[in-house]
Amino acid sequence: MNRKQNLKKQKLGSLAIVFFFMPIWVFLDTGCSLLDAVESSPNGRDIMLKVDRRPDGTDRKFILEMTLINKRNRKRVRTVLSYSKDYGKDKKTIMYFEKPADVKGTGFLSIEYDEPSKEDDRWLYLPALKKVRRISGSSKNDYFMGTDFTYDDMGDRSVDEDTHQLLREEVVDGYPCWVVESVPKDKSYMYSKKINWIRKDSLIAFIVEFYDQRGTLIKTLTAPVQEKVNGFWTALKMVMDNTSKEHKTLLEMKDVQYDQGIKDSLFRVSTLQRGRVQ
Amino acid sequence: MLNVQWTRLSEVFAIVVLGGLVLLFWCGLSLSAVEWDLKGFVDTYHAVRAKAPNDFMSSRTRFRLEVLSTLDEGRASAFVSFNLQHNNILPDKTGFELREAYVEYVSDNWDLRVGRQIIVWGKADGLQITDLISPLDMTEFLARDYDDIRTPVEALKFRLLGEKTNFELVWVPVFKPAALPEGDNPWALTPDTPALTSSPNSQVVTLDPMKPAKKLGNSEFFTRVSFYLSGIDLAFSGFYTWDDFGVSYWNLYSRDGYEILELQQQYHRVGGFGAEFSLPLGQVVLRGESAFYIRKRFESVAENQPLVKRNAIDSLLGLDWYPGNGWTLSGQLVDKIILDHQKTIYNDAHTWLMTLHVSKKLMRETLNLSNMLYLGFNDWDLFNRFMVDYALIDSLHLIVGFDLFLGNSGDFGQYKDNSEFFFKAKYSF
Repeated sequence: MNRKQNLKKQKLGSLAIVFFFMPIWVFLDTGCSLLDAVESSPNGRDIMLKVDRRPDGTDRKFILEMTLINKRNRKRVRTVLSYSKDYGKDKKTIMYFEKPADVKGTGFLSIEYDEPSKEDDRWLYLPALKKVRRISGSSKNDYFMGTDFTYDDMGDRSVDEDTHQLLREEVVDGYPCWVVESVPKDKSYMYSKKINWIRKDSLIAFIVEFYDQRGTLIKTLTAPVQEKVNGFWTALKMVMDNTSKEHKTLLEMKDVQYDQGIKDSLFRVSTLQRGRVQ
Repeated sequence: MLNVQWTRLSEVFAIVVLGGLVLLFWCGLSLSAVEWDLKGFVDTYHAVRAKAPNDFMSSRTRFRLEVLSTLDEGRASAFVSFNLQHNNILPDKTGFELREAYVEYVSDNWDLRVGRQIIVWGKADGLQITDLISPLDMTEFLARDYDDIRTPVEALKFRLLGEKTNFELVWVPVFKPAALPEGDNPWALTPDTPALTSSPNSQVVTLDPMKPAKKLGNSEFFTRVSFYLSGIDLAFSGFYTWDDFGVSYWNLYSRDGYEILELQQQYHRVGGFGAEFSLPLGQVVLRGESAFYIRKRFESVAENQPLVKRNAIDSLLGLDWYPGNGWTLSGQLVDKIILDHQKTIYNDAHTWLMTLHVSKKLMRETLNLSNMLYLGFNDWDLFNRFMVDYALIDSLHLIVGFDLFLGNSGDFGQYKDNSEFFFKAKYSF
């Protein structure tokens, strides 16, 4: 009898322990999950790395049409045919200018190295001179073909050249976005900061605001048309509104193709010297 | 047996190119596989001498058409480029001019181009060091676009293509000298005679140039291996060619009481080696090239003296700086050295030349200001071309500028009376 009573007391004790500690365990478990959630929420650099490493196939081809619009709404059109291919973390790109007619046939070949200390290799082919010349890998602050995009704006800038901070998350035009502030480490850089609205679904900047050294907003980039092409998110249309100079540039990607098996022989100086794709 | 007339060779090239075009056209009709690409321009250029009599130095208008047809996804192609020109100053330039006409086949690891073509080697801008294949057209000196200063040659160009290495072989069966101004051309010069007497009984007689016979044995050969490496470009070349500019030979003799000074331009064989490099360093690119000539012939200071054979080295060092914000600066220093020089040679032991190019793009690249300076240190003479290029609309450029020549002698000083204002309009399509 005493043994039975003792067993009953032990069960009650066990239940009491279970009921006493359950809420604590639940609390702690939930707390840990919450802590995990806090830890897994990406920081600014993580987000910009995700943007930089967004899947875009092994090779890609597109026609880039750039429309330069001045304050009197006069338009000038530049068209570039671009091929690029990844070689590990390095990337080779060859471009041919098609419009305007006076620069048609001009070619540009670059090898971008992932290693920050290694200077990119760049060559330019000028059809009037009929020769290829090696050009400097610098001058990334120069505007590309008279557009409102600098070479850096076109995607040449490395993630770790800026310090990134996640400011907030918000929904813009129905798209959930991370809002990330990017401040250049080089204080003499042409921008004092950029504010990026990164679409969470596409990992492409939806809006980017560019501020000059005085902290004044000078340019705003919007990418209103983002679609999946061959399974890869692509910004098909971008507008850079240069508010300080009252002109803007419309960038449209046409005939976009990914993973078409572009030949390695295309990315050679000897091909560039030919002045045409082949 | 190996002798083949130049005209026959030209015919062979013409047949090859036209045959290629016909074949592509036929394939285009039957297979619809041919792609055609047309481009060209219309331009008009007029230059007026800055000093009296303020006459026109140049006045020409031309239409350029370039036709590229490709087949088999671009592997096979034919290219034709020609000018239709009206020239008010040089009437013999008026009419049809075939610039280039060649067929090409491209494989992954080699390509072959046959026909009339312009081939440019080297790292120099506007100067020739190892770039000896397509001769210069100096009929308007350097007061023209680079494109117009080049003369095409009938050639076969074969390349073996690697990922970072090219091997190139060029065969030019018929020698073509540099085109020099002559006759009523405002850029034609009075020869710098070595010892013409002031006697009324003396006269200068210019003989026909002594050119190599048009036979296969007088072909020119060029070869080059190029490396396009991470951080540096290198190339090494060899050439067995003819001196494009030739040398002047003076022969003085007396006949019937007259002193006759005969001038003859003579073209001779020359062979040698070349090397070139291009090295990007941050915002600048350092580049250079050098050519070593074996027993090149040089003019003698005195008449009736044989030409002097000497080894020679032409070298160039250049620097391109891209500071950003639309600026480009480029400088070049050239030294032409005659080894084992002697006083009887007309040229100096060292001939120094410097070029400086500055350009700035403004107004979203619609306005381009540029200045190109050539400075000769031996004679302290210079040529400076300042140019303002405005794109009125896409593809329509209006260009004004001034060519300044200073000095009393030397390549530039000899044109001290030819400083000119110029205007050009160019519409590209």
